[in-house]
Amino acid sequence: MGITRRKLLQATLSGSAMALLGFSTTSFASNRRVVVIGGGSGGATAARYLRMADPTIEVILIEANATHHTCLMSNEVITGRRDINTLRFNYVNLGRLGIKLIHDKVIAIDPDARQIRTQDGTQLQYDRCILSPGIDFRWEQITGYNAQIAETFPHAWKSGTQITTLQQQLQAMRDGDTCLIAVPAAPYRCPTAPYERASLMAHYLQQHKPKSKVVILDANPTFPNQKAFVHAWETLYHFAGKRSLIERQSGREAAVTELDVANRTLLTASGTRIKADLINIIPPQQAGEVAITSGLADESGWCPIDLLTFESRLQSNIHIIGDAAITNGMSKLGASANAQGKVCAAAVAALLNGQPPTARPLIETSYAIIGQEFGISATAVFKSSEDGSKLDRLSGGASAAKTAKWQHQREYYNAHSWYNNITRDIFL
Amino acid sequence: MAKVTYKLYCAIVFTTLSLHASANDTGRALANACTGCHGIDGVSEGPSIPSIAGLPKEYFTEIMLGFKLDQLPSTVMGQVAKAYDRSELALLAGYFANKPFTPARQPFDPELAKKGAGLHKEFCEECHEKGGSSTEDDEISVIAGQQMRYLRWTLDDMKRNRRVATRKMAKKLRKLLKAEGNSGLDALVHYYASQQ
Repeated sequence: MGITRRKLLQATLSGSAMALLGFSTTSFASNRRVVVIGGGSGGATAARYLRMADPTIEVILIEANATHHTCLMSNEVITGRRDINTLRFNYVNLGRLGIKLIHDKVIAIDPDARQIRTQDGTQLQYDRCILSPGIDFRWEQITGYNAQIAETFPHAWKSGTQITTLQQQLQAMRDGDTCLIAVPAAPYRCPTAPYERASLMAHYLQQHKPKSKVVILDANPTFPNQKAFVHAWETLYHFAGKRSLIERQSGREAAVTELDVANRTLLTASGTRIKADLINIIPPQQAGEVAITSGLADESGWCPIDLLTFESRLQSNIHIIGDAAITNGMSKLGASANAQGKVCAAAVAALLNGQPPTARPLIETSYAIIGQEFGISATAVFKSSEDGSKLDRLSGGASAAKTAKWQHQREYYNAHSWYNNITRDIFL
Repeated sequence: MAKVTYKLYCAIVFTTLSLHASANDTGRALANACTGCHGIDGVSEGPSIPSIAGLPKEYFTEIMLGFKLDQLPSTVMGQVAKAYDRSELALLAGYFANKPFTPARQPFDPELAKKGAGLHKEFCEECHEKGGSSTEDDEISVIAGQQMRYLRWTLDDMKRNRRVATRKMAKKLRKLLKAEGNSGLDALVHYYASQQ
């Protein structure tokens, strides 16, 4: 009886919410509703694949913006190799697939009431929620740095306008100027992207400002696919030599602790002051804001989940995918979020249909472009254990460091193919 | 008696259908992981990752085993293939074989394509029938409409013995190279790209 009344109440609430939003109530035949929050690689994929898995489930996607600029390939824009518009996607095609789109910001999720509240005051009931909130910055860890200052000292770590800002600043550098990239301690979004950025900046400088260089201030002693990167830098950019276009200082003492805006100077944990003409700070990170405020993150700032279903370990009926989730071994990549979106969608469809979710392969792929017709890559395949306690790594590895030119050329073209295909898989 | 037979018939049909459906579901569950790189339903946008939709089953399986055993050059496939066992590869092969092959929209040089058409007829058509678009032979891939760069790389790999070709393929390739050199290979791939 209680359940019936609750369901009835839910349906009424949902019905009126939908009526408020102008949706036809006749299309509201299904009484199972999934709300997907966040229209990036993870959320858009999950919405799409859930729709394909079971068209009788109502899928609502809440995303603040009407268009999305991918982080993928944004390093090519920064270094003048690609137009920013080629990174832009919208949600029109997802709408055509029958996904209901709400362009609004989620303020709070109430896990007990299974209710979402948005900035515009919309309240939505859900049976299950898929949350793909991406990342947020821990501004407090770098004294003198904040969201406002980031407009002129860009992080360029969420794509969009800051990509253009950084591109303009790179272009404005004089020959002989130094460009600095500050890399936070892992985990952070896209762990090879700072090094791809440094590589492509070096390529740009080599062409246009050969007396300049890129300095990487890296809070990590080592980084993923390091051998292949270093070998590529040696091959293309005289790395570790006298005329090296890339320098790297690494380890905990190289972590940036303070920005002195007036003197364009960074202070590191070791107390060293480093001045640069262009400063790109990638701040330390945590799960996106709504995950933190809704009590879905643990003390690490990231969200613990069941790895079979991606359901939160802290709240029921909320599934978390992408950068925000703790996925034991899987990297925080757009490609990972895409893979997780599919597996999560299948699990959610199964659960709503009273079926047991099954473990499915998750492939993460990360290509990095180092220079003209020169790329490297790393990949891995994972599968959850049956109890969802861990991800087993079934295979994986990086491209060989010392390899022939034709192989680097293939990595380069496959990187662009991969981008064209994965963005279609997410948005089109 | 007739009723019993009919019931039995229905039972068999139903079981076969549901077995088929569940194989297809499992196939799709596995295949969903491939489309991030190979495109929706296995149809690639290019410029180099091949389409895998509509590839013959045997051919698909052979290529995957080649990657798995490090017998084929690749960027990531040598690692990816190792995650799948033979029964999973069979499901994947079956799933993608059932998808229609969709020729890539890609630019090509009409002059080269014309030359390539002649070379195809002389050296390739005997096995790669209907201009390379045939799906009749389960061991021979569709090459008409495949991503041009991928085709060129594959020919390079065979030429340099990085990929094992059948004896016949190797022989024809040698003859073509002797007659036309690398420009012959370029002409061929432009011909295949021209079929859209």
